[in-house]
Amino acid sequence: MMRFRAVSRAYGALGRARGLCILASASAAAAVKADPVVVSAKVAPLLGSLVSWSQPQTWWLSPSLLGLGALISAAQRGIGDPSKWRVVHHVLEEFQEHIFGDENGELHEHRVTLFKHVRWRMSLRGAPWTGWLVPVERSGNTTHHSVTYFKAPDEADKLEGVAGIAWNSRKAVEVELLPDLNAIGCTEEHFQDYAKRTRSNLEKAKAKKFRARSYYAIPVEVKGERWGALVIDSRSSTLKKKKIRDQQHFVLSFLSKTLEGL
Amino acid sequence: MRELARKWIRLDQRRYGASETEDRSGVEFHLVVSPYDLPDAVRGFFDRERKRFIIEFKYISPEETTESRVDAHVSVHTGRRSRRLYRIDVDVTSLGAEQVVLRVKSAVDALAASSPARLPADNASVVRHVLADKSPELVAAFAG
Repeated sequence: MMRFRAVSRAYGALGRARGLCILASASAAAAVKADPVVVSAKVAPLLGSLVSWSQPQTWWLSPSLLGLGALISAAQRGIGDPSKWRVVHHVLEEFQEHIFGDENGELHEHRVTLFKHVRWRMSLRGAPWTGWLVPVERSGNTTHHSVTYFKAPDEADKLEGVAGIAWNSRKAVEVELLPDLNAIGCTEEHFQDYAKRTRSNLEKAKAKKFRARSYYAIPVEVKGERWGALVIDSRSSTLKKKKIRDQQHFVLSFLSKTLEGL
Repeated sequence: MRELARKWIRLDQRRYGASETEDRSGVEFHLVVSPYDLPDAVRGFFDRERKRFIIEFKYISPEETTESRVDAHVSVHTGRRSRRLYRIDVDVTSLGAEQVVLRVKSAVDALAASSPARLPADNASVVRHVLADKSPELVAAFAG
């Protein structure tokens, strides 16, 4: 998923920056006892000049670099370990395979997406502090271009999407037998019905590339606190709910543990 | 009374996961009890030292709990954030097995009814159902 690639790159870059800070701090501390003349003569004149420059600065330079390293570590923890996200992705794929593995058609016609609730998000559709559900991971390798996100404030009447209802109500939500928006002869009424029953904006329903006909959304919690929602959507008009319920316990148990700190 | 092995009784979540239809702004949605509100397992055991009969519930995502007293004989541990019921402690001094069951049931009723800050409705309903189903096995740990 896009987020995964961005997170992976940022996490790697921060890791390298942290390593450089620690190395530079240790080098500055070690340079205190070095003789710049000897270093210039035996190693390199440029290094000698650097040692000569750093020696009077070491008292503040070395601890500052260590402090910067600690800040970078905190930022790394904030964005989360990409290896955890890789495992989350794998679990979503397994869940998708379990539910839809024997369905007709392509597996990418059925998806499992993990949404995280965030307090702030820049958006033209509402105030940034409204509260939003944003997709952070999805099964499969296709349809990752989708950046569908939903308003998820505490007020139930302002919620968007099936994910929003699950998050707000702390209940699982089922929606099936939605109109086929890809069918020939699909009318404005079909779009309106679809938007109403999925609690989504009419324009968004029309613009959708992936037009699911059934949804199952489950709230996700971490340590007893609402974290987000897991949404299963499919182009089939009905869902295999027994299969979902058979595996949801394992999947949620795993996610709740893995998502701690992410 | 004797202390039996503290063995968990696994629960079939499908049996307790009730669903309902709810009207939200003129649209009906089919809602199902969150898997987080359904205990995975329950157990009952007798704490000989403290003379307490204890019933514990295990959930998907454990959390820190806080203890509160329901009445002179019963105290409960509820989730700090979710407010779900994790444990019931009954002081069994001079109580029989049947009285223990009654005390537990009335404690759950009181917790469900008292205030919005108490047990979430779904969790209270599931716990009641589990206790009704499993009380013979749970009380066996006490009466055995």
